[in-house]
Amino acid sequence: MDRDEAAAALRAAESHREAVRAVSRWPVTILLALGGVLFATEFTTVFVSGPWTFVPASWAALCAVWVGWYANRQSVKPRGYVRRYSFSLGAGMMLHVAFVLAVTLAGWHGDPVVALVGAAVVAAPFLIGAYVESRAA
Amino acid sequence: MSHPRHDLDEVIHSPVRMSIVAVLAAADQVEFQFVRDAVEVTDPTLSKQVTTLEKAGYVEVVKGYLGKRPRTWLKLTPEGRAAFTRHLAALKAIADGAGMA
Repeated sequence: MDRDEAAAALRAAESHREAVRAVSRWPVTILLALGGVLFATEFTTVFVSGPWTFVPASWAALCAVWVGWYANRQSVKPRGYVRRYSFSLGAGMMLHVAFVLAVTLAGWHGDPVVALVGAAVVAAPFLIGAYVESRAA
Repeated sequence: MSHPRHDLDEVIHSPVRMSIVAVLAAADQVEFQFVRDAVEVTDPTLSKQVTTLEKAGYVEVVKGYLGKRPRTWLKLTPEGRAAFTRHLAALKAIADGAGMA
C-alpha cells in the first residue's frame, strides 16, 4: 500500500463517518420536543386545577409516546446517547416534582412569573441536553 | 524501525470491510439496511463480510423487532473498535510517509 492509497482509504473512512454522524442527530429533535412540550405543560399547570390538570399532563404523555415511536424507527443509535438522554430526563423529572411541590406549598397558583420561570427551569435540562447532543461527536 | 504497513489489520484491510467498520465506528449500533446502503453492497455480500468480522470478534450482530418486522443491528465490539483505531493509525502513518526513509 502506498501513500496515495492510504490517504484515499482514510478519506473514505471519514466520509462514512460523516454520513453516519449526519443521521445520528435525531436525539436533538427528541430533546427539543420534550423541552418545548414540558415548557408548555409546566406553564399551563400553574393556571389549572382539579381534573383540568389532565389536559397539560396529556400533552406530556402524548409527547412521551411520540418519543418512543420516533426513537424506535431510527436506524442509527449514537454512542452514549442513552446516558446523556437519561441525565436530561432525570434532571427534568426531579425539577418537575420540585416545581409542583413549590407551587402547591407556597401557594403560587396562577402567578404568571412563577409559571414562566418554573417552566423554563424544568425545560432547561432538555434544551441543554439538545445542545450537548448536537455537539456530540 | 518497522514499516507501518505491518500494523495494518488484515481483516479490516479489505475495502468493503473497512467501509463497514468505518460506518459502525461512528455509532453505537447501526441497522443492517443502513450499513448496506451506506457501503453500497447487496444483502448477501454484507452478510458474508459481517460473518468474517464476527468471526474475528470485531462485530456483534444484535437481533430485534419493530412490531412484527425483524431488525438486525450491527455493533462494533471493543476489540473491533481498538483494531480499527490501530488500523487508522497505520494508514495515517503510511499517508504521512512514515517508514519511507
